Amino acid sequence: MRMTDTAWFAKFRKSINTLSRWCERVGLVAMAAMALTTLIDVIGSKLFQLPLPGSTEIISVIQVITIAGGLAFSKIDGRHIRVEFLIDWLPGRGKAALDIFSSILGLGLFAVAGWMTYEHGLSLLGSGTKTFLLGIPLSLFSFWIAFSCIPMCFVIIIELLTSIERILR
Amino acid sequence: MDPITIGISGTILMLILFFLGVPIGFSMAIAGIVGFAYVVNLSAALHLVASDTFDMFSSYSFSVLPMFILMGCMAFAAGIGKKAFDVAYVIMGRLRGGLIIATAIACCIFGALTGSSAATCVAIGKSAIPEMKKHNYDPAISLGALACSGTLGFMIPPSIPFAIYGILTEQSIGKLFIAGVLPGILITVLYIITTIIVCWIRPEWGPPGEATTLKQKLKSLLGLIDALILFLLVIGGLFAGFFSPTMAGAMGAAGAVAIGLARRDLTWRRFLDGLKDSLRLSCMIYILIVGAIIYGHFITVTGVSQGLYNFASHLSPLGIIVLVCIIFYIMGALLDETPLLLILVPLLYPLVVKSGYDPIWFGVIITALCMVGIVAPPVATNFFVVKALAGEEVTMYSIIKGILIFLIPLTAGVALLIAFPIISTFLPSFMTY
Repeated sequence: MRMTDTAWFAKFRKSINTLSRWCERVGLVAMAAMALTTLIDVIGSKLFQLPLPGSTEIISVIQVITIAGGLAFSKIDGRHIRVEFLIDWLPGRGKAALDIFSSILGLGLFAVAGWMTYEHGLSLLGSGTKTFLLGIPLSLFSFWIAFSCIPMCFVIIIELLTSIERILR
Repeated sequence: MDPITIGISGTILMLILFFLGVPIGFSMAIAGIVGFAYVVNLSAALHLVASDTFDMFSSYSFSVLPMFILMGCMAFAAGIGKKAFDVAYVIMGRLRGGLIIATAIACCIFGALTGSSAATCVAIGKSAIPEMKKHNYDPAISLGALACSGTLGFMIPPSIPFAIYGILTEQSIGKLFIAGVLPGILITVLYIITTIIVCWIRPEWGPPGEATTLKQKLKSLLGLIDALILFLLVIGGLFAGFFSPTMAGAMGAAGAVAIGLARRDLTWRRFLDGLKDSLRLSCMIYILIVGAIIYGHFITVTGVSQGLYNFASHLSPLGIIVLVCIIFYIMGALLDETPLLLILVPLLYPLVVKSGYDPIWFGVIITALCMVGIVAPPVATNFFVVKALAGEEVTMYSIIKGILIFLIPLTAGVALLIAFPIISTFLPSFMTY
């Protein structure tokens, strides 16, 4: 029986997809909030001479939530651009071998990114770094990026296991 | 090993990773981290990952990107692209090659609402391809025209390449957007002239469609009102200095949603799909930018950019522009526009500015060069989008043949923009900020 057909793998994949989808939902809400905050600022400043205080800070931190939230599902959706015209010529196993190589590098990259943004968050927390006008603590957003790297790593692990299976088949 | 050799080795590593199928953003980040660790130390390289990622994700200046992506996706979800094609078809459909001319005009109009060339191709192609099939248009010419016309999404503001260029070079994104208007119209006119010539030589490639009365033509123009309102809101606001680029993008997205709701074209499902599409596309671009920034730090510490600068400073100003064109033509066939800009602009921009060229004009030139890259195989997003829209019955060779025909006016457009910088700099000269 193939590993990717087992019940535990299906459950694992489903759990990661669910986690990634939830992170994406947070990202979607944040993206809408980004647009809404900008709109409120425009209407307030241009029509009522009442700009939203610290709007650029709000948009900046919401942007962190938006982009980090969407990371894992954009990978599931296959959005990351690759140069494929050379590997398309390879036979199935050759392609799977390169996918394994690519997944290992990606996994390493996002494991490092998650670990280092967590460290960065700790350092921001320690120094009490906040935004200038509104005093929003920046560490929270670094922790959010670190957290978002977790589903991303698991998505890559699933791709890695699937590619290994393609080689063994 | 001297730093420049390390820099070149790092670049070769990055290219090897590209061609091994590692996602481009990951490849740039990995080459940057490995190289930076080698030149400085591992700890500094690891900290670079965190600081660059956090700084990038929280940078207000980059927020212009998701807002304009959102605007394009919402305009698409609201069905504005289809309306643009319908109007152009009613007006131009009677002419020989009229559907191709209508496609070029519709791409020009929809390009005014989105910064993405692929989105322009999909929005117009969905309506144009069935009509072209129905009227027995030659698949090569019609699909090649669609792929090339879709690139107008890059030049006609708002434009993602202009936004990225503006952020990388600290140039006014508003001025860059305005600078793209006349070049976009020029390239559209060149496409139309090419279509007329081709269909005059080979009339069977673009048979004329049904005739329409003047009343029908005038009535159809009402379909452009939505696009016109959005364009005036966004680009007018930018031109007048009323909005910042991020504000203009958000206003455009809200405007597209409002129009879609008012016309009952935007359902909850389509709104959600548009939002998801914007988020996923934004994530892809941000990962590319983070990768490019990490790689850029590595290149800076090695001094490769300085070496390139010293090498190219012996060239004449025209020689530098020719060199830029050659690099973009070659690399554009291998990379998508975003990594192309992120890798090449930081290297080439100082050279071009030192040669006395206008940075806004240079932004227009490299955007035009990106338009060539996006249709030039093997790595050509528009080519693959058009192939997917056309289905299996159309061969890749056939589309490439059509693209090669329309690369002639596109290349002529690039040459005209280089020869007559006033085309790009005329409108921005009226902006006072």
